[in-house]
Amino acid sequence: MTQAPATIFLVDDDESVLRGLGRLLRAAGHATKPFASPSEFLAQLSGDTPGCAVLDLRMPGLNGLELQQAMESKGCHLPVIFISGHGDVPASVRAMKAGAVDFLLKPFDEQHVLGAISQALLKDAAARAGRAETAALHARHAVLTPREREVCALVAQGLTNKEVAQRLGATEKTIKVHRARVIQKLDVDSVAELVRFVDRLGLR
Amino acid sequence: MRAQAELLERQRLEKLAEMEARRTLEQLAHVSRVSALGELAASLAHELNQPLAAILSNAQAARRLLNATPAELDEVREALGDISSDSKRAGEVIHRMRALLKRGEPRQELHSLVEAHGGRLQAESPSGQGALLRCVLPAAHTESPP
Repeated sequence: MTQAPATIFLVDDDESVLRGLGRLLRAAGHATKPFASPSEFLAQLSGDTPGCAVLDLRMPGLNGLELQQAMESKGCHLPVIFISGHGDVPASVRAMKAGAVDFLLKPFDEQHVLGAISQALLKDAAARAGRAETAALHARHAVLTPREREVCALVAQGLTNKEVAQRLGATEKTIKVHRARVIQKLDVDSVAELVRFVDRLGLR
Repeated sequence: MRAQAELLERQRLEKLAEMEARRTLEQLAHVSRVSALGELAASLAHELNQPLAAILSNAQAARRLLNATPAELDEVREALGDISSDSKRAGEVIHRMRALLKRGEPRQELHSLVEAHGGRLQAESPSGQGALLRCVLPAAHTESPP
């Protein structure tokens, strides 16, 4: 699967930091997009770009934590690294609780920021792959007829053909046909795999 | 003769007491300035950490750019330029802080409001001790005669 190259989104109201950090990340081989304000960043946000976001914690308008929430509500799941000129402990705790990858105090060493970024990019790639897989499973499940979905759910609960037939008021023979269709459409090899499939979709 | 001596002594003591009181007041003013600076220190640290972060990033970027083949010299030049200006910026922050911390005699100065242009008066102390007076007047008031 071909994917767009990862982009590091930088948001800091301090122009010098924005330039310096951008230069460092580009010199280390990353593609960067700098923004001097949270609103500029939010305005051009597209949910599909792979990468991560490096956000300053204290900015006029939205602070970094509020920006992180705004990103989530816009459906943007980019992993976030916070940077701050303050040793603000409560804020760093809130940031980490909100799922930030790291919290770096200015001035930070390249080793730390580059380490945090590769961690964030790994996290993003894993989350992206997980979301793509779930979407593919949903797409396969969507192909089932309403009756096949009922059969699928009951088989996943461990019921035999006979039990399913009783539950749905059909003949065992019909259920067998439905069951074969389900296995074929979902492209699974065994009932065990079917159970895992249904679990992944949270349908059980 | 004795009465005069007593008077002189009393005047001397009064003057001493007055000087003492003034010194206490000045010390008090200094203490309150210093505690206000304590609150300022946090924001000053922030102001210093910004240019320092930029300097460190630029320096480490420059080293990477020099190690690249071919070395990206134009970008290195820009990084060095940014390092210079951010160093100056950090220096100014320290300079301002030092001016604020300096212990000085309280002064009273007269400033003419008539000199205000556009309804704004700004006076900075010529000795650079950090005193800043800003007075924003409604435009109608500046037009009326004193």
